[in-house]
Amino acid sequence: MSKGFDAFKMAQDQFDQIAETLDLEAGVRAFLREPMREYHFTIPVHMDDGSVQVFRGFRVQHSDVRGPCKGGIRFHPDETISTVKALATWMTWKCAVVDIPLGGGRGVVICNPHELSMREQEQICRGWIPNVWRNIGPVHDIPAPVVLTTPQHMLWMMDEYETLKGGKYPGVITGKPVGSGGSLGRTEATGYGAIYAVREALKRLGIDIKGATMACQGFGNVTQYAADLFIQYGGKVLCVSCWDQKDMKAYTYRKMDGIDLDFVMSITDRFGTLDAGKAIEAGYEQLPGDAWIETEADVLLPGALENQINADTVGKIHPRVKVVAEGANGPTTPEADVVLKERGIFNIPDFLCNAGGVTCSYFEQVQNNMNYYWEKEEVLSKLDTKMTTAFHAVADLAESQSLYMRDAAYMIAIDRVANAARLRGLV
Amino acid sequence: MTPHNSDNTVPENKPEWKIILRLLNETDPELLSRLSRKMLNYLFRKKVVKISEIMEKLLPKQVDASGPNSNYGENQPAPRMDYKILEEITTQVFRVAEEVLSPEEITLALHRWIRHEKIRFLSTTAGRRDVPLGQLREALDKYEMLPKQSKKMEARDRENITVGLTRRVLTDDLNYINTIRKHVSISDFANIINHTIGPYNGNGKVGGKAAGLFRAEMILNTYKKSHTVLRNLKVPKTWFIASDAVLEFISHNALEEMMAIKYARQDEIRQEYHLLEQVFKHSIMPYSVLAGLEHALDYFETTPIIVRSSSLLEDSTGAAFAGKYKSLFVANQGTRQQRLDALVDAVLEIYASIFGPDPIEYRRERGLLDFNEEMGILIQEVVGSKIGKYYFPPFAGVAFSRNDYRWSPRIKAEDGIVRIVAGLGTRAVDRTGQDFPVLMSPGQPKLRINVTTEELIRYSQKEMDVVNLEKGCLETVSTEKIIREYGAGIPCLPYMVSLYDEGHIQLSPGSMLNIQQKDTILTFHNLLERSPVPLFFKTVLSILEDEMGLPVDIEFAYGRDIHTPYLLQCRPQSVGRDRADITIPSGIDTDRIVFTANKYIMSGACHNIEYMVYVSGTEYDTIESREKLLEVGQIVGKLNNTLPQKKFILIGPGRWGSKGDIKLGVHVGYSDINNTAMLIEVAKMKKGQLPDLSFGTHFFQDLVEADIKYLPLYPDDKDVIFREDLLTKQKNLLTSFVHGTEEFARIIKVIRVSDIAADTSLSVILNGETDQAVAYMN
Repeated sequence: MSKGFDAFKMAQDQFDQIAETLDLEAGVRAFLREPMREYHFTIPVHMDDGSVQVFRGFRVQHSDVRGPCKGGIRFHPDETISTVKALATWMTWKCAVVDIPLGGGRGVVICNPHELSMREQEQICRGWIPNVWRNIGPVHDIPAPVVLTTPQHMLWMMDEYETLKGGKYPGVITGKPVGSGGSLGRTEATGYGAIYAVREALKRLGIDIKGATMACQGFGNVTQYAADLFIQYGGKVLCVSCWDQKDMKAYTYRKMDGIDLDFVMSITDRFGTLDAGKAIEAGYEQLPGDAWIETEADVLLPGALENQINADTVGKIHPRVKVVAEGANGPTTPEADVVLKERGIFNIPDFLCNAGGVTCSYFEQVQNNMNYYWEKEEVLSKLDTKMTTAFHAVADLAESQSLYMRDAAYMIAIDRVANAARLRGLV
Repeated sequence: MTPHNSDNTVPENKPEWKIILRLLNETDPELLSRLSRKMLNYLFRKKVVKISEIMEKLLPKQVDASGPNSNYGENQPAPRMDYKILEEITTQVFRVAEEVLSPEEITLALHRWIRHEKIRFLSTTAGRRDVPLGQLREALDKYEMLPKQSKKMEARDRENITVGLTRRVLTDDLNYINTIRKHVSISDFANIINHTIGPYNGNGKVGGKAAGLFRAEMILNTYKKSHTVLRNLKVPKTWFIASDAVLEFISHNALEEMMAIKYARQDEIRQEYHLLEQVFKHSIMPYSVLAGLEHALDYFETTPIIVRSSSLLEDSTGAAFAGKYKSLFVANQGTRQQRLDALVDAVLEIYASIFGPDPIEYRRERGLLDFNEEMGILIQEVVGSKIGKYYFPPFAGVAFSRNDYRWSPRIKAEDGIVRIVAGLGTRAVDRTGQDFPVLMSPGQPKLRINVTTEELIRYSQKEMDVVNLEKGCLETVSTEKIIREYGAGIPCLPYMVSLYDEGHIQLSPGSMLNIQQKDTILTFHNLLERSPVPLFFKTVLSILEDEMGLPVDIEFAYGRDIHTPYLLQCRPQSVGRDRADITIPSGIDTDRIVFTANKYIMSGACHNIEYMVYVSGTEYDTIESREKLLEVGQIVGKLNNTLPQKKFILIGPGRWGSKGDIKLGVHVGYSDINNTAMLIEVAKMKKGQLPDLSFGTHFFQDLVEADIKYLPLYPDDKDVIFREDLLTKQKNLLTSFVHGTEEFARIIKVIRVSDIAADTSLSVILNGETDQAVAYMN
């Protein structure tokens, strides 16, 4: 490998580090360091202009020892096999930490949907399936939409799979719209899941969630539902932040006696941007974008962007802060992690904190397989149970072995996968 | 004159033509003479040998002009013929005719020519470039009243008249005349003149905008039979104010001294302009114009109207003048007097805008200051319908036959581009920077810029322009609010919206009832996928470009449904610039060139660039951690906020704005690059593979609306220049702009152009027509 950043190498380094801590035997290490299977194939497509273009497709199944693989399919011209392998690996750990019986997978087609007509995109979707249809499916590997793929793409793939397989198999793919096999509660899942974990963390710290305070970064889907549930539990959300397209910068909107969520939602557009004028008029302070981190609150919830808590900003965290709940992916840099550890701030790491999304995908698949669909309350109640159990398992380990939560989460995840492999007699 | 028979007796069974000639000989010898001339031509065209012989015999022999006895030659006037010879020719013509033509043919020809004589008044009128408007109107009215039979004439006579009328009414531009002559009829002119307001004795024209629209309409009309998609194409009801009406207004109010303002300094013009506008508004409109405006108001009734400038400079100089003069909406509501006052106010404001600081500056820059101030005006009905208290078309916009903004190498410049908005087209014509029209390339209508849910939402139109009939003004309203309020009452809505539900977008809403209760996004998905609209634009743009022989842009609006397009304007394509601006200068010293490119080039130019920010691909590839890769993007963001706006260009490896594998391009958001003049992606061969570029798709519509140019560079291609040494071996100012970035100095270079060559700045010219670009120091 040439010098330079390599995503899969990074995933392997991370694994090696945990494997060392867990003192995994060499066979297990060798087995989990690499994906179990990689499918590389070509998809010829008859373009609208009559020419034929051949696209490259991949599906990587990192591990299915705990259950069928699960992971997105991405359409992207940027994608490389290294990234696909890395993301498949992380997916294995993510499913394991929240203890759902799924493994990790990831797929891609190297293409740019911006340069393809809808018909051509449909051809790619339908052309992807015949290459792997024997190797995916509700009991093998379940894809889902991620960057640049949409529910429409998934439905074309599902349709093609069902044609080849001969039967109805909505559980072959998740992320479908409600009414086409999707699950209720999907929208709330990630935000609510984060707060189930926060609730349990506060319990362990002896802080009553009623009257507890939270400062949020972002105001997209995750933060909106997290704020909603936190307020339902009697807590106060003191601030949210958002990107302002007009001013080309981010703002934090703060109200120290707690935001009125209904009001804030009523002045927010689909991107989570607040109407500055109306917010200020209603007595909200408009502060710089990173002011959320300085807010005197019990909980910090970085909910939208990566690298928000970094070497420069970690020092600004108010002494009152007891919990950092990582609703977004990768909000804390390794340098900031060191400071959080030193200060004894309780961290709920991203792949545990935001696992509500993948858990709900798992629920969608379960409902598909039995062809019976739950009410939203039932979905959310099952999500609560899963998140709570997963959280305590990690927190118990962290407490008993005096580990940082992020390390404990990785250890528990990798240990679960390693155990499953051993029990099967694979290693 | 005795053409044939001089004995004054009419034998029995004498053919009719002889009787006619005899009668004319007695009653109208002049007409007889013209008829003889026509017969002479007729026989000549039939290649009758005898006629040639007669001519040869009667006409003086051609002699060698250079010979010693030459009295005349090619550089001297030919001698006048003896009148008797002419008379003799005339006499003999009918003798020959009798020999070679049948009596019926001669009679028929005479009938036809005599009928033509009835409309000779029209060719006489049309041939005069200074014929007063009143006389022209009377002549055309008289022509229109003639029975159909009497209007028949030979093609060349008709063409002669239409060319004359074109010159008188529209323009002297030869290219224009050539492109319109075969598409236009006399009645078409009658229609213009009957809707033209101006002094009775005036000889003004209707101006460039009106002429452009008229030409496009005439061209497209001739294609309606062969192209069904054009059949319902219309032009809104229009009245014209002749260009000299403004001069009449100025002299009527003794405002001549105001005209000298154009020779004042720019700051003086700015200072005085406001006063001038008010002086104009408080002056009196000459009666001839006022009466015309009243007629127009009767014609438009209470439909909202738009009053647009139609400058003579636009067509006679080739200068674009895009957006330099005003276009004003008039709600046209209230009492008759109120409506008239509002219309007069609008016209006067446009007259005042002739002397506005921006148009004057524009003219000064192009040496057009001394051109006279005549300006025509178009008064057009606003296309649309009344929806509640508002009036607007379901959708409208602008279309260009050349696509300067290509988001994929599959799209060629000649595929064109259309900017579509809901409501009035103003938001498509202007760039708001914050709100977005839907972009479609008619040659590749299936290739979308926005694909993901996030892109579809972010780059959808949030506000629309409408006429508020109650307030009597133009208003910007929220699209969501309008759709919620009026829903299915808005024509074409199912073609315009997609539904948003819990993070999913249902692109095609079908025949959705209760659309008001749904969360809607303007995507125009069904319009682009399931309507004849893309084909319409492809057809219109290619016909107009072919016929006019140059790229064109049009403004359009749709009426009650997707089958009723209206053409509002048509002119040579200009995106707020002149074509001359993108001509690559010849003979640029090679030493001064920084880079060149020869594929996927959009049109545009950036001048006075002071800095170049270069992210070295070779160095970027060596970064080992994701954090450091992200930091490169953050530093670019800081440079973007520090360097002087629009005075720098960004050059980087691969795909700007990469999100997934950010090794393939610098991870930046739009706010990290929004101040650059140009975004450049370098595709350098790596291990035998050429990386794909993004073509700016990560923030494509932001680039379009902010007019940030995009350029891909392929340094490994033959015949291109890429002086990487100028970007890497010069003094790097990175750390002086962003402190604490020493470790990135090998990766990010900030080069001041004047450090390379003193007192220079960088110009980058992009010529999409020739697919060539060059960046050079000047």
